[in-house]
Amino acid sequence: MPPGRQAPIYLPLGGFPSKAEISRKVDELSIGLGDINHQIYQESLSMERLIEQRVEISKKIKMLHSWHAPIHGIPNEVLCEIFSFCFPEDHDCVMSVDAFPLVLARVCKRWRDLVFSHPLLWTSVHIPMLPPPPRSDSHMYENSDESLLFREELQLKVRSHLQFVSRWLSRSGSTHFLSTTLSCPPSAWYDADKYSRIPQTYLEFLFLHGRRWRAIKVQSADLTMTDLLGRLVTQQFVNLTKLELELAAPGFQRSSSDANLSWGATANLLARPGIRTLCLKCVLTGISRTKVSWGSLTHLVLGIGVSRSWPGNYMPDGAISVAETHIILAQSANLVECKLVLSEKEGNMQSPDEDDWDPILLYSLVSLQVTDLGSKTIPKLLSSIRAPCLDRLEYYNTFRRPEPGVVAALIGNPWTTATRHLALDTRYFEKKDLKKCLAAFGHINSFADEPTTFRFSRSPKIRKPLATANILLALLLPDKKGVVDCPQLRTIILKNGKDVKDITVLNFVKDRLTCSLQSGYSECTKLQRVAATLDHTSPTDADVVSKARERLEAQLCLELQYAPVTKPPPKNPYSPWAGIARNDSEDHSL
Amino acid sequence: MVLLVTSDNEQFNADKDVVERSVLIKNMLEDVGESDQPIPLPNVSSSVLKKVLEYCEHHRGEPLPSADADQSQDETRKRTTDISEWDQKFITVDQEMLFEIILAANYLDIKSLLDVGCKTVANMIKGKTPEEIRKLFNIVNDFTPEEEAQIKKENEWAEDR
Repeated sequence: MPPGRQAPIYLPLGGFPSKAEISRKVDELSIGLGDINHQIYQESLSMERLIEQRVEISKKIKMLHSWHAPIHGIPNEVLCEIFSFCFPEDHDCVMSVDAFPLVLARVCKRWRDLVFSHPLLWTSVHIPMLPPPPRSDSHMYENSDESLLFREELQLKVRSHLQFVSRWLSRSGSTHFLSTTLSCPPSAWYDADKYSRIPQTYLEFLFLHGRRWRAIKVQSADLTMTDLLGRLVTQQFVNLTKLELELAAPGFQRSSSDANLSWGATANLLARPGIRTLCLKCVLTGISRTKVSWGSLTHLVLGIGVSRSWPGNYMPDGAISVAETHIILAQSANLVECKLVLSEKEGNMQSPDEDDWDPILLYSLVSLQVTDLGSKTIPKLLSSIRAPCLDRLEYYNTFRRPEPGVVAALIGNPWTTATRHLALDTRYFEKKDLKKCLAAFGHINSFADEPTTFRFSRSPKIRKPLATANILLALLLPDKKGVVDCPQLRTIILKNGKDVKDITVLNFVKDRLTCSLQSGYSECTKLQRVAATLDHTSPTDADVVSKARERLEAQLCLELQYAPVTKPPPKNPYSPWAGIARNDSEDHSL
Repeated sequence: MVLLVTSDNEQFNADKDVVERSVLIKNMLEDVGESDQPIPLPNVSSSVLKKVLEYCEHHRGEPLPSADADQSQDETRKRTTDISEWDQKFITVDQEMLFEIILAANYLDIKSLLDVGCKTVANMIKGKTPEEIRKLFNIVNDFTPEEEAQIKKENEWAEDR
């Protein structure tokens, strides 16, 4: 019998043992069982210790290995420099553990110490106002005691919320570059009388850092918050240089026939003299009559009203009338960058009847973006602009064919000949307009001494992408550079292929052909057509296609790579180019 | 021409206006004056210096960033991470080389190259979770469970709701 094992128990031959005998035996066995249990406990303890030791040691090994990682050789100041590039580019920092900068502070102790000790990383914050209960639920709080209790509780929550924001801003030290976005629910949504302290508490918090704010953005559905801010602002925000108002709902739209047309106390906010960047994404009727220091603005964004309930689309109500824009631009002599969404809606300011509008002198203007929501007077506005330093001109047309004269005004303006970057949304252009644009591209490019970007989107009016490609490539090749934004274009004819030298065009061609080869039989048919066009034969089988491909490569001095098809990057739904693929899907074929 | 000597004793000849994109070398040349003496670069290996010189050669003649420009960029805080097409191709290297280039740019004081490197790393970091960042750069999570709990408590208002 192995040591430590109990002898088996056999029933005695003489019958059952006595009770005393049994209990003695049970006691003996229980002692043995206790010993074994104790041993098991001891063993499991040492096993746990060993597991812990193993984890510790493997962690140390992992850490030692990780010290070889190149990032550990980067000095702290360079790591901080890297962190400073991690700011979100199009919005203020969100207070989330999964977003910059808090996400970096969760990586390791070194990063945490660096992030918390680098004040500039804490200079931007998005503060969402805690919402009071909606009006529809107000019956739940009608009992005065409950209502009071709830309001006190909400006030406490707001205070705790603002303490967190305060801790955030305290990490920014004494830097004077603070930037914030304050987003608040529409006042119609909750009982504004009962909960008037809530928005005020948030604004009072902003005043605590009054002199430090450089940029303030208010996101709301109405003017309540901005009016409140406008009433309190007079002595505050002396260093404010950037103001953005994103007011989504058209609840405060006023007709131009309204004699008392007013922006209320919000006008005080707009009239701050130090503001250089003004961005108004809202209904803009009457904005030209407010006391904005238009002359001191360098960056202006007017009327890009993106509807929250209709994402990815411009909200026509967010646009500004062309006539009003003319008045504003005429006063904004120091603009460097300007983005406009223009429309001609009923109730907007009447356009002047004269054929030629007064010229607008914008000698500093470098970048102009115009989104045309349908206006007869846009050609007049564009023709009246005198911007000899204009480097970037973008024109987007979301809904319809542009008015006659837009193309000429865009590309024929003798005052914008320095333009090197031209982006035209040509989806709704007629063929003759497109030809004009492409011809003008050559004209514009000839003034440039640096590569020019030319974005191009195919018009559904032109049924044959082949023809479009022909026009495009013939004009772009051999010495023009271009980015061709024509995602459905699969079939191309290359003229003077031997002269192709431009890497951008080559890459474009290469990508399209690679794509064609990989996309199965139907796409191969299109490749055959490319090959056929090149050597005037009609290939019918894979060998011939292969030979045609070789000939293509030889003629273009280009090696076709067969990289795996990658997933296209997600499209920005807010981009005016976002709808191109959808709209063009009907005519892939020749 | 200027003669540069790397940490692995390799010698590189480069035009003065190319190497002067490095503020360190520019200052050294100004201090030393006209001389045939090689400039030792003990912190830069030959493979990295080759890349650095390729960058300087491509950007030869471009204006050097001024201190004022830096300051105005700092004021805006939200710094763009756009990288030009050529720079993007240039910096498409393995992680070890990327960080070596960053270190060399920092040592040689080539602000534009340092920016390209930092932007590239920042673009790698953006949109990732802490665990993904650790995995990407081989960083060990050295927080104790107690510290993790403390961080969670501190960021109560920043937790997903």
